[in-house]
Amino acid sequence: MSEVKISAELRTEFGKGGARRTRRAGKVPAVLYGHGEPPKHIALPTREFAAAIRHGGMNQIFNIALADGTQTLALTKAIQRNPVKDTIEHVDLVVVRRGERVTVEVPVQLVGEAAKGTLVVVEHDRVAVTAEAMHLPEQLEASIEGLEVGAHVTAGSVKLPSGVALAGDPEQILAVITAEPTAEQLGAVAPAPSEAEEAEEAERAAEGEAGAPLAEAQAGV
Amino acid sequence: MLMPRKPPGGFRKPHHPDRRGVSKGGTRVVFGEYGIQALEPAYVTNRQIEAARIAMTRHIKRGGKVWINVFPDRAITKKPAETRMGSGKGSPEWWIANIKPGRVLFEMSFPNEATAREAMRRAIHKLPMKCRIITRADDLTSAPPASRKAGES
Repeated sequence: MSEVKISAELRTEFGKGGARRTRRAGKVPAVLYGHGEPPKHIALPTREFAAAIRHGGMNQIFNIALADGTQTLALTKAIQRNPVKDTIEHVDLVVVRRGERVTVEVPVQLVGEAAKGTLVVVEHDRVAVTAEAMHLPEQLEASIEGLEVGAHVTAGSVKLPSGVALAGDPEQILAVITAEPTAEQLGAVAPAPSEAEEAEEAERAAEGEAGAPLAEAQAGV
Repeated sequence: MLMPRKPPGGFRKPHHPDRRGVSKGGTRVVFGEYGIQALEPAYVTNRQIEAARIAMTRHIKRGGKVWINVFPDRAITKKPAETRMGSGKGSPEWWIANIKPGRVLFEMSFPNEATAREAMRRAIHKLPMKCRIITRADDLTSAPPASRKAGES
């Protein structure tokens, strides 16, 4: 994966007021840390950063050029998004060095078609791998071609490129092949009213009966 | 109909839940391929949840799976009609899920995207607030589409 050059400026004001002013100026507040260095609070151009993440995925390597002339390689550690507007609110960046091996979560794409009459249920769509920071895979593939009901895809069955090693449990289940639910299973009506519901109904009826004469009495009937 | 076996925390008649703010979690598609995301705050009753589920499952007929990510665990009370004020809080009338913007209410897995979208559109009509359909692929952190990957390499 190639690195993306992005310019950043050091933030001088903090807190929600400062962060909101930064966002209004078309920048996203970020923090850069790692390798024992003191954290740097920076602001990145929102559009460039979002475009880089959209095209390169979460594991995009950034070459961050700061206003003071220093350049730093960094990897995205976490992104805070607004759940409704889908805008990026804050970014955590971790400093990496060329040749350093890092552990990241890489998306897994299921390829092929499972057997007829099956439904593929995805349990996890990412696996943790260790790889050289400058050669992180954008995505990995696992085959579900012809898999029958009851089969499952584990992290160990994902094809890994050279230089990439699995960091997590190889037995971690990524997808399960289940039988296609029938119309009866899907349309199964909700369970019958429980004892609690029945008790509630009875109580409500009792209260209603008790309430009516009281209301009448209060209304002067 | 979805409802708790016993009132959560032992409180049968809680105050009205807070409707301010946005959802703090459950804002992404994690089980299926598509999801219905709330865009407004709302109290969604167990009847509305059931109606939406039925609308979806009747449209897809078979071959898919539906997940309900919310549970109506808060009781809303009502005083009987023509009752004077006082004499305590009314009796529990509805069970609701307190939904805040961003929350994914339902998820679905289905091989045909057009059918899945139509099923979810029908389900949205049963819900009391504005919603949108989101997909797992919309997520920034998910795998980029194959076509985009081919174009880059």
